[in-house]
Amino acid sequence: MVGRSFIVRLIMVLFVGVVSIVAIYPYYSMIMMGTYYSNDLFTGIKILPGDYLKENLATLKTINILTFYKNSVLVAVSCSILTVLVCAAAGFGFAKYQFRFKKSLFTFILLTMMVPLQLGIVAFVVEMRAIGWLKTLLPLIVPPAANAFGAFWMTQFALQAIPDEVMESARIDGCSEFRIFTQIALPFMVPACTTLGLLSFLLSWNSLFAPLIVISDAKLFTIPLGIRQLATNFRMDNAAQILGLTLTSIPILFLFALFSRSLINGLSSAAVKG
Amino acid sequence: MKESTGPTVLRRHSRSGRYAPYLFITPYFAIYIAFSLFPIIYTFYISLTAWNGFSAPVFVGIKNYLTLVADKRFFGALTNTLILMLMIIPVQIGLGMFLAVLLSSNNMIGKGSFRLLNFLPYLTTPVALGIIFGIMFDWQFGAINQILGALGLVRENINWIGKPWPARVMVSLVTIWKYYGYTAVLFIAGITNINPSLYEAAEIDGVNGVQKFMRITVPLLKPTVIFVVLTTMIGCFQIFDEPLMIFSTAGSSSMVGGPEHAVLTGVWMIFDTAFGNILRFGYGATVAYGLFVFIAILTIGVNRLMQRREDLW
Repeated sequence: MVGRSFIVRLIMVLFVGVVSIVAIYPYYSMIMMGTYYSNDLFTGIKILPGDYLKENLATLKTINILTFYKNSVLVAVSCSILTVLVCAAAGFGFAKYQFRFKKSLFTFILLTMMVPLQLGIVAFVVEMRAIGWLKTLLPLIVPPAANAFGAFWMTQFALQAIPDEVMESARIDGCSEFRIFTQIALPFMVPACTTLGLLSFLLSWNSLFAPLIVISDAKLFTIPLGIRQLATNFRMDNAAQILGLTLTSIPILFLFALFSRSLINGLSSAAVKG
Repeated sequence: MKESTGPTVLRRHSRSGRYAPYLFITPYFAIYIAFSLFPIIYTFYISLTAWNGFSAPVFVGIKNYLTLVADKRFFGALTNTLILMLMIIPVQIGLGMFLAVLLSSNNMIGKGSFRLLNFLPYLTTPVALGIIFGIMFDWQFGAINQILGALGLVRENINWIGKPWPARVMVSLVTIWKYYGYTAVLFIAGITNINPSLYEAAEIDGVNGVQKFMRITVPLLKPTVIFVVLTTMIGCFQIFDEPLMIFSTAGSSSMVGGPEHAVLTGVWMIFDTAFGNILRFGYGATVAYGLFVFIAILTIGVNRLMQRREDLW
């Protein structure tokens, strides 16, 4: 006999299956849409690939997609490395030392997690202009490195991951505090560094708001900005835009495929502890 | 926070060690103060001026704030944000929690793969989302209207991009689509943290699945629920990239805030006021502060309410 539990199980799998199709359908259609002539996109649902891939690629070449790609890689990689170093150092300091104002400073970080950065965007632009950063990619690399969530989470991680005994024996051997951080603490913090690095790569790679405001020189455009420009330029070429975005998604999907477990675990542990 | 036992040893062995913790936290605070805190404070000064960003700013005192409290568009943006919150948060939490329960159940197959698939939307570039959903929600030929029509759910096509309420529903759906998998992952972590002996004890007492969910799972997920509610609320103020793309793809790039400004959110209003067709840095800064006060009051209030109302749980 077919048990009740089998039917329950079937319904569960069906439900999750349908939700999952909804989750990936837009991805799938993104890949398909990039192979069509733009005007054909609005004629029904696209299940199979079209025959306009080459032409769309040619359109992308006209807007220097390679320059945008290079800028995006430069920004996202430097931003995530800087974020990891800055937050790991802060987390290590908070977790492994006693010092004056430690509690208040840590509470301050927690509070800033609730303050959206867009609040200061007007003065941020003025500041960037004043220090001459508007003609560079630095506004997209340095400011996001002070990631409140990152510092909080590195502290939590360092508390339980770095054994005090190892640090003490290194001190007895005459190791400086800075070397203890780079050679002993950092290796223990690798899992947290990977997750934070991925997360800030993702945020930086996908970011539109900040680049839209601080970057005006087309030579410095990141991909989201460049793709947007394709929409407002001479004509609306949705298909070429979408192909560009498909290419944009590849690094993210690749990184995710490699590190999905650590990313998901990291994100969820932060919420449980917070 | 757990206290470390390091410092006593530290003081005995090295003098430089006393300054070490400050050196470690300095880069973080230097960057935060220079590029986040300073702009936030300086924005307050700008909010007291009339300034186009180029000529010399003129100090006008609280004049901008008087304009703000009479600005219909500002209150429109606040109302929109509240409407979006009310449409997004319940679905986000309901769907996320339900999916999490299914994906943590022993009766489920392929849990790992389903978790990954549902997490994918969180990774999408907002610009891509905007363009693709803009096409999918197209009035005449979009996939959504075709599916709704084929299922017989609507008699005529819905003008998602051209009418205020459909536009709000569309923006809510896009946001929910992007974040429900992420929310589910957070709830899965919460469920994994629940002590299994609670469920075992309930089973011995003959409690059924629904009761177990209502009496054990939901109450113990309270911290996660609070986290999701607060972050989603702040997130609703920041909805910007996707609608910006949807409504500039759909037609004129001048459709600020969508049809009749129905999806003009807080951040979009700051952007448009300060950096739109007319540069108004002074008033843009005022809008930012007005929004901040509103977000602060709202999040603190909701947090208090959720922490206190034990009977709800």
